[in-house]
Amino acid sequence: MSDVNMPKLSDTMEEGTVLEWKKQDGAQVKRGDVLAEIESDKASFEIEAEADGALHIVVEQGQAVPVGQQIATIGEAAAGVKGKDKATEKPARQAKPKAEAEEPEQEEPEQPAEPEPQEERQQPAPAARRDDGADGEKASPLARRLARERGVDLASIKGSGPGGRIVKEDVLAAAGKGRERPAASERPAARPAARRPEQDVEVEEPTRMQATIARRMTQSKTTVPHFYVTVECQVDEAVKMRQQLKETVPGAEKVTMTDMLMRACALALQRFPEVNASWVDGHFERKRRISIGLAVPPEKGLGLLVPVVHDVDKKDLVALSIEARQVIERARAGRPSQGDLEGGTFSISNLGMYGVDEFNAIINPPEAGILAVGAIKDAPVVVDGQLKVGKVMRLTLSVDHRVYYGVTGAQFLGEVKRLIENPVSLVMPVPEA
Amino acid sequence: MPEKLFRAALREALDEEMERDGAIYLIGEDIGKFGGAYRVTDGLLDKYGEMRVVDAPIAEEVIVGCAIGSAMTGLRPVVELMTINFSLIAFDQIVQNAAKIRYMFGGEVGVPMVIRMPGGAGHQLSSQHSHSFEALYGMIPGLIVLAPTTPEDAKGMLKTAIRDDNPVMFLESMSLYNLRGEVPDGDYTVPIGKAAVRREGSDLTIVAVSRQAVLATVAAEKLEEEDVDAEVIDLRSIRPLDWKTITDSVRKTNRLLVVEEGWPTYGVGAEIAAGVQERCFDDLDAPILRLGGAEVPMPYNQHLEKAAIPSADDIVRIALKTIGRNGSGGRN
Repeated sequence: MSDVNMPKLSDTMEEGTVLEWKKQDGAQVKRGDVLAEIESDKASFEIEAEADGALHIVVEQGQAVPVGQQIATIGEAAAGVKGKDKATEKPARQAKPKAEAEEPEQEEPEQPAEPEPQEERQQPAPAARRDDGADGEKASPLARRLARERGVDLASIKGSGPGGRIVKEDVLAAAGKGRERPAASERPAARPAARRPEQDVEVEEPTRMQATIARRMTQSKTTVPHFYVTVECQVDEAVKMRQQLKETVPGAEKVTMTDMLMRACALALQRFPEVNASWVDGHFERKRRISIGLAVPPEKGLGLLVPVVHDVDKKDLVALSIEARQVIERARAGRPSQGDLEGGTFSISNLGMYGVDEFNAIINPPEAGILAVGAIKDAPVVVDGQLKVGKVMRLTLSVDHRVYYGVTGAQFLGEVKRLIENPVSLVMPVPEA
Repeated sequence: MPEKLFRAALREALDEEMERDGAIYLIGEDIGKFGGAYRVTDGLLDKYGEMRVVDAPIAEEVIVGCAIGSAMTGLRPVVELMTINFSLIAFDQIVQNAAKIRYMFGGEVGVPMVIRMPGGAGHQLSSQHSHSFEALYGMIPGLIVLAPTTPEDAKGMLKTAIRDDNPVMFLESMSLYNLRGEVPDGDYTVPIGKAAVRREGSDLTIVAVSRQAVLATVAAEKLEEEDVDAEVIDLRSIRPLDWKTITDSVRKTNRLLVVEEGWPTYGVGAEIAAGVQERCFDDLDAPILRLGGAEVPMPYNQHLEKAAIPSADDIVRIALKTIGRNGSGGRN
């Protein structure tokens, strides 16, 4: 008998949805068979059977469940003995997504299951325990009194009050006293008749990815103090060099301005390690690796993905250009490899191809900076006192002001500008570590 | 029942009491010829003459000192201090003499005196002229501290205060002088030490002090839109406190929010919160929350001043918090 649990597919994944079961309930499956398509906050993945046997589906299609929760079992025929109750108690064991399962050498050693706290379990609990919940359940004084009077064990109740506090209504419900009306804390706020969605508005449920974007962007914009620095770069040289690379260097045919900016940012981040950092629980966390996320749209539907190229500082322009293209393709197709969508330390968002002059991007926490890239445009520029037509591009850096400050932001962006305006530095070989 | 202004109800109480008892006299700044800074004593000089309506010099310690001395010798003074802020100048007389004389004279001499004091913020009178001193006077044994919030109570409570044989701090919220409400003609009194249930409810109790009781009633109506049934208690008597009305209500609703305009630290709300948990701990289904003014000197700027005083929306928000629902926005 083998459990199939909701896999954790990225750092931020807290729950997932079974988009589609590829096998019927009760079907015989073999190790390696694709069982289901799972949607996480960032992408969808296929999960495979890890054992031979009869599939028993626990979680229906379309249902969201927390990471680690059992979604099916594979076992002897008629394996449906494991109920859904079991699912929530079972310690999380990750089913591996397809991409990783093919490369077992990269698998991390399995965490040993937590040993059962045997001694505690063996204590004759109920007799010795006070029934007023004084052994740790958080309950209001009134709830404790009612529980005492009505012989309700507070340990058996889930609190509905703030922070899980057990309140009067919970005890009364447990005592079998039907409520006359729901608790004030549970009654929805009455909405005056201002909205009539059925007539003027079509309500659309967000995809998991869209819901995640909404949550994380709100978290970022409401908890991260942003400020913005903008520079205009003259990119005639960079445009020219990109053309030369395309025409003359094998493998560099598809180098993009974003690739060049990624290389420039990596070099600048090396020089300003305080930018390659996070603010976590009142501390700075300086990242030893430089990994840059690239904001891209998914292939299907509306959304946003941030595939990450790792260790950008250790890769030359051509290598990182190829890698970026591969990572982006995997992510956009909804088939990211492990690590493709996590571990970024800085991000770049380029809307230049849509003709945008400049814009302010929202930081992707826990990163402390994101570079917003505008279009390359012909514009009048002054060179040595002479008015000429040149190619300019605007870069706007969004900064987490808790992590670094105006001067550093300006210096960092100035360094990016210097590098992109003098692009030969971007094709210098990467020194051996 | 006829409708009258809060200030007119006060005047009616003074007038009727002065007519009833010749020992009663008024003393204060600009109360005679000018009719009082807030026009409460308008017309009384003409009716009762200079011996019973005394325009005093600008010297609060002298005014209160005279009143205490005359009260000890058998008169029944009603002092008007132009605002409660100036009572600080007379604080020594109030605390050291008025509040203690009955005790120090072994009960042989009392101080049957009323000090009427307009107070509270909301009129851009800035840091020094916007105080709410309910807690400051409420903590002193020997004083009675009252704060009416309706015209009917203004008249009935002032009469009770005048007839009581102890010093009474009679706190009038400046913002209520133009409040209009039903006031019975003729004689009636409202007892000291009795809070008023302004609105009955089942989900939580809001105990509010002075003008905040008016705002709490407004807040309760807004809470009804959120399907929360709030009981509003107008404290009226800050010292002595009406524990029975408060605890009866908390035993029914199991939740309590206390609202005052003054600073909440060591405030009336703190006292009530402490007293309620002593008396009915096992009836509480949620932590008792307090709402008070911002702990700053009152700003002059009207927007800042508004932000520093609890509003009906603030009460709604903290009330929702008390019952475990998150209110939105605003100052805590």
